Amino acid sequence: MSQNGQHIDIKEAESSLQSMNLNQDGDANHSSKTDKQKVDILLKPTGNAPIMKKKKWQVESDKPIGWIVEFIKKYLKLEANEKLFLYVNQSFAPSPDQIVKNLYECYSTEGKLVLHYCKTQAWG
Amino acid sequence: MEMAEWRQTILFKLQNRNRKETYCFQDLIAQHNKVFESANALRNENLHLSIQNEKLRVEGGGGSNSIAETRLSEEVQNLKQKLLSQTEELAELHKRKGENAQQIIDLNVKLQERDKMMSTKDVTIAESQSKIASLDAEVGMLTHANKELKHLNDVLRDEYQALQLAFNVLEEKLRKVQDENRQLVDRLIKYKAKDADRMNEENDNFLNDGSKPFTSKLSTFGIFRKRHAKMQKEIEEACRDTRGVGSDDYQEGYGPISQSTLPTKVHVKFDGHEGEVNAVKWSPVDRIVVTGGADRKVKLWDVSKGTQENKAILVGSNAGVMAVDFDTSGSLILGASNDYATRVWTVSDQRLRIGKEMEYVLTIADFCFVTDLH
Amino acid sequence: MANDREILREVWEGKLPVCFKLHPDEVVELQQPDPFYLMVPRLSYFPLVTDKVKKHFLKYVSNDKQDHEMWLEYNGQPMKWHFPIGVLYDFLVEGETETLPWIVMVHFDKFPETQIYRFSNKEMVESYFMACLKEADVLKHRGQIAANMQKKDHNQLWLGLQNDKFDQFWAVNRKLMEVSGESEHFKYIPFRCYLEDGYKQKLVRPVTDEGKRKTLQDLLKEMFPEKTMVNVKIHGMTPPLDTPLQWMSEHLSYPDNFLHLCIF
Repeated sequence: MSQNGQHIDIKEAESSLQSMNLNQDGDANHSSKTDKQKVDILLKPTGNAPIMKKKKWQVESDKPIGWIVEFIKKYLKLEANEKLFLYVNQSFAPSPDQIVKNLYECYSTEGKLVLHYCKTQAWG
Repeated sequence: MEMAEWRQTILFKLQNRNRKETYCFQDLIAQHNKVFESANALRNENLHLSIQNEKLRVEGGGGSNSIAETRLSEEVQNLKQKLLSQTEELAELHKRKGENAQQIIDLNVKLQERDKMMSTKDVTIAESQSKIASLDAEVGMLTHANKELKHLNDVLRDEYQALQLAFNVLEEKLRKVQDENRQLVDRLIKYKAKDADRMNEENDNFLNDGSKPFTSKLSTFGIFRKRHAKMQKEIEEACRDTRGVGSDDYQEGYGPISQSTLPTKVHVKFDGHEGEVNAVKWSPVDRIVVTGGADRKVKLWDVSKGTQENKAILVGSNAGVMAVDFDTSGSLILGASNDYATRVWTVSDQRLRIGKEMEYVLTIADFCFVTDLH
Repeated sequence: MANDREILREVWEGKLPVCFKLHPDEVVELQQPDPFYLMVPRLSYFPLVTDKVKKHFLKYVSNDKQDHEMWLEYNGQPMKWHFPIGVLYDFLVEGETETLPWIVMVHFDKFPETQIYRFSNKEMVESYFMACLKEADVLKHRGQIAANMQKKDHNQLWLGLQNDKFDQFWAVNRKLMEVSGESEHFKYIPFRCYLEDGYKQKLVRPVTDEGKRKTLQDLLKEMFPEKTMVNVKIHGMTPPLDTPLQWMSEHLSYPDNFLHLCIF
């Protein structure tokens, strides 16, 4: 059941973006454990970036940042070649393969992880 | 801290690691890289040399006996070709030279045109400059003339003022002479009256004398009576005449020219003021009369319709008004009062224009209307 | 203060002998190319040291692949260029079976898009490196020191690493390793624990609430409370469990200021 769910998730993701299979062999195990684990993230635009109607999202905690970047790009209907940068704490850009959970553990405030996104490098 | 065991362990492990991983390979790999590079270089050189060798072999394989000849002919061929190309080049250059010459001519023509244009422009510039100069001069002249005219104007104004002063003096003199004249006339009338009295007395005496002895001489008496009446009439006429007599007439010795009559019939009679009426004046333009009274008021009357009609009461004086006058246009009224002040009112809106004590005190005798009231 | 230069030197000196081999499937010449041997610093990143390798092997691949991005593989697994070389080695090469030189396969074809990221140029590596540095500073000093640094200092750090210049690098890195203000330790320890399925990060303070300094053991307990026995490897060695965390962070961090701990 859980495997099936994960499969659909991956399919969904792959239609628009390439998810980072950082955990190829541990997938089944992992998903069964953290399937329901979701964290709240808050997406805020910076600079010239368009505003998202919905700011608060729940994301599975084992999703990589790259997945969120692709998600935002799809949501904002950006071209494939357009760039999008994400920033934590308005200070550093997390690695695309960084897992949301790690950032949540270290940088969340009041139960939410605030991510700023923009179309040009901001806090380079 | 330096002596801590964990630190020593770490240092030892790191040193061990470096010995095992780094130092034993470092020289080997450096050596290898050197060898690798030199091998590559040698390989490249080898390749290069073999290519050169091949080339030489091809060249060498062409034979040796007729080498000189073929080379010569080749050279000739080369030279011919070179010559050909050079002649072509020469032709090309000639052509270009011709084009250039043409261009030079064209440019020269253009240059000349420009020169011409320049010279015409210079001429026009010179013309306009001279025109500017003449206009400047004209302006100078005109300003000079203007100055002169101004000067002249000033002189004329001064002259005019002097004349005005002289005129005033003369007028004053005239008035004095007129007064004298009036006194003289009065005296004349007195004399004439005395004359008439004497004659009457004489007549009476004569009549009294004559009636006693001669009652028949009544006719003579009638003649005397007639003569007497005539004389009386003449005297009355003479009295009337005195008003129109000018000083000139007296000097020249002529009798009065204008016929004057004493007003006999009252046209309108009205009580204008509470108290005495001190001054009356006709408006020079309308049938309007201005009066000044002891009740400190100046009143305007319209008498054109045969009746009096009070047009306005001009107030402001603090004492009885002693004299009034209009200005020449009839729009201003001047009133002099016993409070040592003269005031000016406008007829149209009946407002006090100028009042209060003037800086100089005018006696009523001196008073005359000054038109320049600024 | 990171003042134990002996340790820092030893850490910096660590280099690995690597034998690069072009994957046989991609060779188009008749002759198999020679393997390319190189000493690579453990603290560096592969894109910074493989220019010569790429040049060497380009001659042997077909022309239409010349412009392709080169990627590396070990034991059938593509290697992430954004991990320091030392981390890759410690993590990928099994403890006891390791043999040196390290044999790495070079590829030009079939870039594994889903597993590793492309790096279009060295600037991208640099910006990744700087991002890590800033993140570490956020953990250590709330990001104050890195933010106040000038572009010149960033360049010096980067060039020091790129050109293997210990003094140049530490002249600037020293400031990042200082403790700010009154405090005698960092706010949190920047570290990553590498596991089979990626790495884990958490907030760990260098001292306990009572002010007692924490050791590596404390960190492992906080991270893996369920495990009784955890093997840690960093810089090719297993540090003693009683090593203080603050000291470890100051002396055993990689140039990106993170402690990269491989967990077995």
